[in-house]
Amino acid sequence: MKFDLKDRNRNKLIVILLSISLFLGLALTTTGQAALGDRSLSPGSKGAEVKELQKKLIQVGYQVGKVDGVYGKSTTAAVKRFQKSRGLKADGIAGEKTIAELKKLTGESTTSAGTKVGFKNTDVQLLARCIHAEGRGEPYIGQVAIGACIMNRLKSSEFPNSIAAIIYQPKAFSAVDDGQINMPPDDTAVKAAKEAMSGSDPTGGALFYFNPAKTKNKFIWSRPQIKKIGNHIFTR
Amino acid sequence: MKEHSKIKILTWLSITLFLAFGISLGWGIYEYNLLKEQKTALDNQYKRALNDLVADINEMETSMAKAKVANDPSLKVLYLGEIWKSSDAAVNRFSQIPADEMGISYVDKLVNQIAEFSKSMTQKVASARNMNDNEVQIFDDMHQRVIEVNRSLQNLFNLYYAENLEWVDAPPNLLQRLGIGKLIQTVAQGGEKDGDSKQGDPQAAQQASEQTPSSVRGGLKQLDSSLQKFPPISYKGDLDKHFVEKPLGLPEGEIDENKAIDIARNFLAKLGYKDTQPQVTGLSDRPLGGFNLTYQDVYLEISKKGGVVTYYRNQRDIDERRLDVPRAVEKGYAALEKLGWKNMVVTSTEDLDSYVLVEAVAQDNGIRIYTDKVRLTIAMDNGELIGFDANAYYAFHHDRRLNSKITMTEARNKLDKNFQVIEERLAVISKIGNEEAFCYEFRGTAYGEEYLIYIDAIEGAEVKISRVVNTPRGKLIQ
Repeated sequence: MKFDLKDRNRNKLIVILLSISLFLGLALTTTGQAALGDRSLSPGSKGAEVKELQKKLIQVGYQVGKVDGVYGKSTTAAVKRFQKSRGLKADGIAGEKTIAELKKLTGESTTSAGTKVGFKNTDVQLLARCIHAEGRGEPYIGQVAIGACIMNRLKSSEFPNSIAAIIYQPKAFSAVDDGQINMPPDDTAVKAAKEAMSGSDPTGGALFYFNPAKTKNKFIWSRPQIKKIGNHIFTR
Repeated sequence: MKEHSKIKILTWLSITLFLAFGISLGWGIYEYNLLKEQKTALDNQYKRALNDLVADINEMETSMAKAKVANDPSLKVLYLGEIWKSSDAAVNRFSQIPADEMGISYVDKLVNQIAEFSKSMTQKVASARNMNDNEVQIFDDMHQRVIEVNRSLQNLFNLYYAENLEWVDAPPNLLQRLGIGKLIQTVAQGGEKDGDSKQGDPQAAQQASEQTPSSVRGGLKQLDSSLQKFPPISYKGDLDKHFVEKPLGLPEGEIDENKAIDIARNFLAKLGYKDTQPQVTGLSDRPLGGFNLTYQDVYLEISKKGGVVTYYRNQRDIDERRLDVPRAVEKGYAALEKLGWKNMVVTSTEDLDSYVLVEAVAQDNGIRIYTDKVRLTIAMDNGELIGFDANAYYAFHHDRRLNSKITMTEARNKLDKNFQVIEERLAVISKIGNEEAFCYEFRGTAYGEEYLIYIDAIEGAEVKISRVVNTPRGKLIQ
């Protein structure tokens, strides 16, 4: 009887060990080893692949909230928005096509021989954050206009010579001083930033803007005004 | 019994209060120290920027003095390069020091101008040409001002260390705001006064520069106004490209509001809009400006002079993408032709998901005029033209007498031996110093990279090189 018991225990142990290793093996292949694109992801999916998907969505300008590896509501919404603007079926499921498109757009730039040379769009994020923080609720061209002001400062001799230096110049933007600049930008702000960076300027050469209802600053009122877009007056 | 419990309660209450007091005091001290630490860290950063700024300006001034007298081109180029380097660094440092108002500063402008000027002079001297008398004069003018800037900055620097100046003038405190106590008016605080002295009142500027500043920023502003006494530098150069004072391409004549509405309706009709009712919702005050009109999601700007549409944007929501980029560009180009634009060629496209941005430039007898460009925005759902920007075209377009003095073969011989030409043509480009250059444009590859190389069609010099990079959204010209 005693031996029997031992044997049975041993058998039990082996079965348990086997099932644990099997489970671990399975778990590892699905979470650790799997790369984005191996399978389609849908609401409810979890793990490293989802995290990668979320990071890529943010990189192309679609906010997903927290990068937590959980395919929740906001990730689904971001996937849908991305699908719509890329002409894919907007079903919120990150299938083969969606992931391939996302990978393509977040890829590095290359030379004609195919050498990778980086992403070439590092300033877009910062500009988009500034536009979002300063111009939420403004019409789209009003947001492009804010971006254009920053791009114009870049070309002007009276301002620093890089986007970061202009945006982080102490006291230059209220949204920078109070920390709103660190909020993630929405799709519109990212688009406006890209458009401004590629040279769109609805303001016709403005360097400053202000909200006439909120500003009494004499300096800003004394600048020659160009035009009003949305709630902002744009000035030289 | 009752007395006893009362005492007990009081004892407990006082212990609790004492503990609470102790905890909040501890927390306060902790927070205070944390704040002090962070304030010190920030202060150190500002100090570093100021120290660097002073050093950069000093270096720039010294290099300028040397560059003036250097006679061997190789040495002159070296000193000009040093000026360029330290002036660029100075501009950057300047922007790291806290200001109580944003931007616009005479020192910034002067330093930027010097950077720009030394850059173009480097190129000139390196190609074995001498600076002409006028340029020598400009350079000396700039140097005189920099000596002044350098001296004042070092004074301010000494003052900062001697008197522990604040970075910016503190806003008036409560008592002062209520009119009690003395309010020291500094230049920095008097926004209006400062604005006046900017208009060029030498006496006010003189007075302002003689006061002892109460903050670093105040001191920099005084320095600014003290520089106003100098006459303006005659060098214009590449500066302030963001604003065109004298547009070259606007048609003659002026229009009124009714005419602007007609023009807008006509423009929209050509794009396929039916029975539009655009309304003038504002005016824009700039050389290319005029009337701002809106109609539903559409925003338009029409110039007062010449009555042309300079900017159009439909901000509608864009549906699911149904076209590919080439098809969209085709549709956009067709719309451009409908608007009456002939002889334009598409030179670049950028895929922004729901729409594509396209640049088209004028082509005249096979010569690409890159300066005369329009930008198109095309929706990817139905290929509709939703954006049009002709500001650059109307700013720079004019009749050019273009006659090349060297031949294509001669120009080709000036290229790097490894450069394989794919495409070649004549083109007008903008170059350093806000001038245009009439060039041969060669597109080709070398060292596994794609380039655009420009050879001046009159003087034969290599004037510009652009690197072409393939990004996921289109070709990027760097």
